[in-house]
Amino acid sequence: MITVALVGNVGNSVMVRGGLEVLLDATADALKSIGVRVVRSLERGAPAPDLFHFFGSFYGLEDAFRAATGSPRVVSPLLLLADDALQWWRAPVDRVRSRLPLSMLHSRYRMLRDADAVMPNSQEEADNSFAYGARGCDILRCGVDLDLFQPEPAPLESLPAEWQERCQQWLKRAPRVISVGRYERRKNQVEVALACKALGLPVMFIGRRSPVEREYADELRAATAFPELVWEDAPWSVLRWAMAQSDVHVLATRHETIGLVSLEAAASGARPVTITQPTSREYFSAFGEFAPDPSPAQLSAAISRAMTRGRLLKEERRHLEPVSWSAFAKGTLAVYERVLAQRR
Amino acid sequence: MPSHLLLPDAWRIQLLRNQAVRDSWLDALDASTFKLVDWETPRLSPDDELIVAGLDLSAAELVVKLPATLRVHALDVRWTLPLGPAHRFVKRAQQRLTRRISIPGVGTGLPPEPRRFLQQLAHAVGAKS
Repeated sequence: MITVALVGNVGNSVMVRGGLEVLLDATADALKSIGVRVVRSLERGAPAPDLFHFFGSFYGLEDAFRAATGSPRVVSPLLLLADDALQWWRAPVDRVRSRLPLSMLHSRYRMLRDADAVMPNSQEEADNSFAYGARGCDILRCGVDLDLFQPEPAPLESLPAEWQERCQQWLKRAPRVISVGRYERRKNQVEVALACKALGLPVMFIGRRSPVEREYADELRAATAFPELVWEDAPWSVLRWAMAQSDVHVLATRHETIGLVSLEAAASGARPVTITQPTSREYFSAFGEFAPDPSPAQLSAAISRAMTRGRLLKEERRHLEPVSWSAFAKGTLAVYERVLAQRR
Repeated sequence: MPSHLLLPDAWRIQLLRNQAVRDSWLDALDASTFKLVDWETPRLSPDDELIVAGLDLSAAELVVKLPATLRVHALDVRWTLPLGPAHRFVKRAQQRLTRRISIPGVGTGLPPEPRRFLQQLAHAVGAKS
């Protein structure tokens, strides 16, 4: 049995559950389900890992990566795309890059160069990884649990009693737009609200207050025509139910590698609207709609197109099968086995 | 109230790799008032206290995201100065600290002997509270 340590930056999720933690949890669960032993914390008596799997390649992981020298190390370079959205960062790095040898550059490049395998989750991320030093890439697309996120909603009575009344109110609205994500300025929920207001569409937001932008949920309530539909801390069962009862899901941020929530919404039958970028195209071109930027005008146009198409058709949902967590886990295990065989 | 303790990534990797060292650390932590912040981490509350044992970049990323009410103490240990914006990131984290603690002879490379280290840390925290 292979034992792998999954290592990500604690900083991303120490106050509130974040995308990286979701990804680590889902990866761990998927790997365990196919017989891989996963270590994520300092457990008494656990065997030493056969290999380390780092998620991020962002600043912060370099010490951990270096400390694992000697063991097989694989990297999932998750944040290259988010970085690339920050032009202030890319330009100076490129200037420095032209004058210094690769080994002098940021830890990310060393990680990409020195890793036994680099596992980006999109072609775009692979292109970036090659540009910054990776010698090879295994593209492993992730990830949605198609058994958990189903287009048929659970019965209303099965939801927690304190949420049933609110859910009933949601059913009285039609058509229905939903947007799920932590309430943060960079996720542009206010713009989504304004876009829906312009279209006269009811929109529901499900999320949590960010510990560093606690006031943003209030700004959102002030901006939307439906402040009663800004829900906080809804349980998972309600979230899944709401997605399955919605026509369109909107995720209007560039600060995502994929936007796992868009995949979950699509698996639940809500047609995803996302921001255009190569990764979004790779994942959602078969059934999604795109806005070139998160302005209310562009979002309105994309939401309107998605509304015209309606909920995902059964045959469209099949496009999600290659990005299921089970497919991801099998691909990841194959890379682990190859790396370990090369090291023997 | 226990203080949450974030160990440098490099130490945690060494602890993962060496079962005997790891177990001695876990025993020592159990006997202390410190609660380990790990990759599968307990959530911190805004009124908690966090001790960062070595302000490496991973810790710096955490520190700059913490709410202002949370008290953050950093233990001075040596860390590698990176290039580029990461350096500014650490500077921002340093400005956020409530205070800095010093324990001579502790570095980021290998984890120190846990009982003595945690005793020194408890003493440093207590003495300055």
